[in-house]
Amino acid sequence: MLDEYVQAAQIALAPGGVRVELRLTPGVEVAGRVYALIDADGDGQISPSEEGAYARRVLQDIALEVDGRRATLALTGVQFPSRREMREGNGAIRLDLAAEASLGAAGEHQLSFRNDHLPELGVYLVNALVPTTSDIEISGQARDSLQREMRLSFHVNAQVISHVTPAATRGLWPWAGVLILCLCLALLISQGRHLRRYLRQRIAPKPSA
Amino acid sequence: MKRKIVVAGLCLFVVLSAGWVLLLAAKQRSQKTRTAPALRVEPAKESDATGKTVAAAKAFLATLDEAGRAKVSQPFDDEHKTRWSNFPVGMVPRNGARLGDLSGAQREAALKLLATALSRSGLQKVKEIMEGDEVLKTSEGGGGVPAGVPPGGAPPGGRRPGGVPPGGRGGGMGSPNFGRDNYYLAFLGAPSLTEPWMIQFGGHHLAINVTVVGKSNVMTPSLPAAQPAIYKLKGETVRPLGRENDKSFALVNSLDAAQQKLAILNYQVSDLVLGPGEDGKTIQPEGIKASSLNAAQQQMLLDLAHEWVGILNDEAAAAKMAEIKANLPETWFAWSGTKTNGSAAYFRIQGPTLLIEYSPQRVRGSGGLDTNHIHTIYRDPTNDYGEGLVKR
Repeated sequence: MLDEYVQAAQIALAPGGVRVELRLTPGVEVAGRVYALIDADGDGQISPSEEGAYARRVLQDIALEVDGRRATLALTGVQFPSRREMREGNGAIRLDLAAEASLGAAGEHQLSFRNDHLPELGVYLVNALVPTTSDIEISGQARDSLQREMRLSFHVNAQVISHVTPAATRGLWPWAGVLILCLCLALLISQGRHLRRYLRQRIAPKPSA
Repeated sequence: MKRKIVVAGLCLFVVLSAGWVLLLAAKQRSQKTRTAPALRVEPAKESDATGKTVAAAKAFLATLDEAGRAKVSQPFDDEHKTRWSNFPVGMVPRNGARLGDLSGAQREAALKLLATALSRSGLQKVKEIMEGDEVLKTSEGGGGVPAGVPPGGAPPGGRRPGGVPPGGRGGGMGSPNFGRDNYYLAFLGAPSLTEPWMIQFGGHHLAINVTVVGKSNVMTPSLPAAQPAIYKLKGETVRPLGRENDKSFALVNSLDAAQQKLAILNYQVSDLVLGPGEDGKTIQPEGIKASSLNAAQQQMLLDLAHEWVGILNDEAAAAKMAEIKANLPETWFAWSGTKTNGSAAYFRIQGPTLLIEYSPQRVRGSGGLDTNHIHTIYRDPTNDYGEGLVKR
């Protein structure tokens, strides 16, 4: 698509929140316009601060709601193509967004997503990824005719979700155990003499009056 | 006595802590073992499809000098496996040796390998896609559509194929980046009856990735596309993806009103959802489940899927079709667009081990879809690049 700005969103539901991957690909005929928007100072280069500013602008154009309440999305990853790739029409800007919020209690829930970024150029795709946990099941999906908006119905199994440990911390438990063990040993070694003395004093029979 | 109790208590605490740590570590190790894909590979024989493909691959390598072999032979790693695209080769460089740089004998050996690894109809499809790119290269202003186009081939609004601007998209018409010479052949890993390796063949609008693991041959992910999707060659009308188009329209028109209500999406899909670079993802399925189709419609769905599956050699395709048939109750068919053959429509077939998307690309400026510029993708979410077979 040469004269359009393809904006593909993929939505992933997880016990800890919602992740959205945005892949923005300007066609060769609109790449210059998009590049000019990003290159705010017009020096022909895209600096990290310009990347960040553009990503935040996109973020402002995205609306996410869970059960009718706005969920705040944060940028967790930003990847920009080279100027050459973008000029040739095969450079995709990738933005990773996340809303670290609980998806709610057991039962049915609703999520809505809307992309209002550059509608005069945009062609949109929006899809939900199959959840990687059986704790969440998508039961319905609806879109507008242009795929700028998507509404997801999903079911949360709280019985399981209450036992879910966030993936990021799951691997830390054994190390926490090792740390506690080391601390105990260190305490035992360093304080052993005092402990023995203390115990001796406490256990030793008191001289009779 | 009290001292003994305290010391015993401390020892017990240390032992329990150590036990807890060991238990957690063992649990994690067992989880990792469970998630690792099981190796379920039958060894290959010289007489089976793998054996013949390995022999043809080695025969091709034997036609090359040392520098040529080095160019063709690449590591079997993620970086190289994922280097494929629908874009012209000037925009996304491919692995391996360029057909246009090969001698006559080398090129013949390369095509003989493709003829061995693929089916007869699969090779024909590949050749037609390459010839289409030759038409795109040589047609001034993007011509190539013959008069009196058959169903499924009419360019809407007089749209000519290959609306690629000069200087854009890798050079435009007449660019050296287009044409039948600009397809690349690579081996990732060494051709082997036992060890995993891969044949990668592709260029503009074509990516064929065949992973060979023992007796198993896997052709996912692959991307057969076409622009122009209809052209004349030696007086004959050629439609590289014509059967896919016609079978899909036949299927959607075989559905009754209630089935169509389920199958037809209420929104436009103007690009592949899981195209190049979208490995390892599974989208929530939509449309109508094959369990809601009658037997004839189910057979039509299988025939349609076979257009992709059957690109690979008959032995491997038969095994894959059996798997798809077994998963048919959990397979979905979704359609976006009108039902009149000759217009452009997107469709998707999605099952536990299958994803096929057929995506006509947008016409510049009109907002409609182009019957003459088609991208498709064929994936297996459980076994792209043979990852379900290769023990990692």
